[in-house]
Amino acid sequence: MSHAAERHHRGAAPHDAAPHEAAPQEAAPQEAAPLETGAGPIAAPDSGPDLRPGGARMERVLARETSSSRASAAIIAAILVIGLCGYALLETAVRAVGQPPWLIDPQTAADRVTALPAGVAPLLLGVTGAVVFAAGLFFFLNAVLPGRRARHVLADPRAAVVVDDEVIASALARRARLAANVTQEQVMVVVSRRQVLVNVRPTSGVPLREADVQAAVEAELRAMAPSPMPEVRVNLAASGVIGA
Amino acid sequence: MSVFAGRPLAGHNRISTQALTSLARAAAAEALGVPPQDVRADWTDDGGLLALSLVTPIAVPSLTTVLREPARVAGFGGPIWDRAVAAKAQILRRVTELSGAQLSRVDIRISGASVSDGGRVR
Repeated sequence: MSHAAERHHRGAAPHDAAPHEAAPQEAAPQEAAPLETGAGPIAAPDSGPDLRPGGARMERVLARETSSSRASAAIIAAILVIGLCGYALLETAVRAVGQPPWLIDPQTAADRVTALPAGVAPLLLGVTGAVVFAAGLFFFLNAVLPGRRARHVLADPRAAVVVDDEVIASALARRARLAANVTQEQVMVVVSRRQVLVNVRPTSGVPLREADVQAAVEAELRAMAPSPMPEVRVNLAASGVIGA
Repeated sequence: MSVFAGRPLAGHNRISTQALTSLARAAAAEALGVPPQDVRADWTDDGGLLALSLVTPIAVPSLTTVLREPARVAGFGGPIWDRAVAAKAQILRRVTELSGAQLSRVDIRISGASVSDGGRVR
């Protein structure tokens, strides 16, 4: 059993905006032929040279694939600001032409705000504060956190290869299982950006050497060469499984 | 899939708990001179190694025979305690050599005596 740790997995971030985007590779790397990005409309003459590995456009495609989009949060923030500004404009305009205010007179609103703790029920005030705080925290974290997806980039001379961490974990678990000579259920691999954690539960009566598993997993990882390269940590469980 | 040089073939061999239990029962039966179906064997994990606990009767000569010729006790292997202690090492060695798994301990609990006068036991 294997799974990849999910870090900063934000909502269903749409990644449809990249016109020349490489499809994410969802298959085990050693079995699937890498999907080419250099074919079809992508190899348009105007964008040819940059799409090579190391090219600026390729870097951009990889960056888009390995980090989640902030577009939705940005759109929400923009709509909020536009709505607020539009309403303020309406009220000021209404006041400028001498009409009665639509909802509240700007002057009265300002007075109410300055006199704030008074005039509003404390419960309502607290709830409003909490909502504003939560919204602020949402936007702040969206802006500040790196927002990386649980994916790694594999080096390939021709194509952009992006692999989900689950896939890497599954490949490493298979390798660790063979090295430790245990069943599938006795190995659990967690892949995060900078670390691979291999949990092995040995079979009772068959002592395992941690170094063997570590060497096997590291060799597999080196052959895979994901970027950034995570470091391997092997955890042998103290107790074993009987008759496995 | 590359295979390590020292590893001839990939694959996984598994000895089930049931097989281990049968093996332990047979080994205990052999060591204590009782039929295997009278032996109860239980496996637990002991820090990554196997710990075996047995509940078994033990074959003893009948008291009248012992009274008639006291040498029969020695023929059976001495007092029950000594035989149980000796059986522990024997069972451990036998199970380890047959199953390939490393045992850390063998606990024996003698649950009864089966009187056998016929046939010289060992």
